[in-house]
Amino acid sequence: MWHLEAHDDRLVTINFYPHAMTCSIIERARTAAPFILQAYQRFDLHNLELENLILFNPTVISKLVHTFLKRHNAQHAFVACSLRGPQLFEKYVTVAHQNPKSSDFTLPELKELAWDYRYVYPTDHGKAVFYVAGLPQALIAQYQFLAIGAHLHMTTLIPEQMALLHVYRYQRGAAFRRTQLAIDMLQHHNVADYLCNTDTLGRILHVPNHLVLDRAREIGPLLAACGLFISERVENEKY
Amino acid sequence: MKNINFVNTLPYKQQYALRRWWFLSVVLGVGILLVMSILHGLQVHHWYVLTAEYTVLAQQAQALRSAVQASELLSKEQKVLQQKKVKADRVKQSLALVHTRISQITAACATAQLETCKWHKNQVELVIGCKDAMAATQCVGQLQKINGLNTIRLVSLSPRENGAVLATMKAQLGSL
Repeated sequence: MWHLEAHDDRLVTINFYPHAMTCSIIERARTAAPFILQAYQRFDLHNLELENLILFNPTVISKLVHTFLKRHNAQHAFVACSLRGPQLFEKYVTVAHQNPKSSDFTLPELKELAWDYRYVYPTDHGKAVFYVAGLPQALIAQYQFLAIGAHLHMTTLIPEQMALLHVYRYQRGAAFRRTQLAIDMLQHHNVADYLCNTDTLGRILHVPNHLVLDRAREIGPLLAACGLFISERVENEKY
Repeated sequence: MKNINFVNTLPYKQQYALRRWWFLSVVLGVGILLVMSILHGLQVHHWYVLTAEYTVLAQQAQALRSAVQASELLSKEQKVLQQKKVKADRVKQSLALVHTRISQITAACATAQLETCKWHKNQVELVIGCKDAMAATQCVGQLQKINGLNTIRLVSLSPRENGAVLATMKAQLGSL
């Protein structure tokens, strides 16, 4: 297959939270920041449309997403989603070596989940810390049905922590070292949210003036959106 | 850092590539179908023209065939009639020849009386009543002058009443 430039470089990111959902459109920028936020909207869902990541009313959610996409003429753009909530199982597991098999992760919670693991950083004792994330199959199916029902070209459904790890790696660039990541993660007790801050966001994402938003409140979703864009458009090109 | 992706989908670039290939395949498929349709259309048009031409020619040929049949029939009849005519002409010619020879023989035997004249295929047998043998010999001499009667010979002389004789002569027939 020969390579041609993609027609639409924009990426729609949707972040699902226990009682809210944020939609944003990001694309590459030629400004100081590498990415630009084209659109952003938060939907607070307090009527049990979305509760603890379970889609109780996919029709409403689908309509909200569809309205957002239509308003910004992005019905045909690819969509990447991130999840954060109690239904999502996340854990940093220390393993004796860096190339474990699935059977090495003997966590009882994983038995009923669709799960995967990624190497994060080494420890001082020669062990390796892996990020393990799992989601019930039924929930994955729900999100896939939502994508089909709303005609979304969903290509990614990842935990928000994973997206934040992508942001961390991207902001470090060529200077990224897993040992440094280990130090940073241990400083913040393995909470990836603290790896990045408003300054990080300002450096990688340009928010136009016409978008008025509470940066202190929206930093998490915006960083996650950046992480999704990086994983889809930047990291994906490496593999 | 690789992703933990809970959905198994193709990367967006592969999806774009698939879309390009799909579009290209559709365009090529439609193009090929169009070309095939045009070529088949031309063939069908040609077939239609030939069929129409064949129909017209078949009608013409039908009329021509009946004319040819009539012509053949007439030709056969003409051939038969021609054969009959040839036969009739030959008979007429032979009868004329016989009449001529008989006239010549009668003229040659003016002094004698021709009794019978038997015509065979290549031979003629004459029975002539003469006054005497001398007259029979003169008659032979007269007959030898006739063109077409060859090697005429006196075969027999039979006496009759009053000293007359009945001379039998044979001659080979030749062409005039």
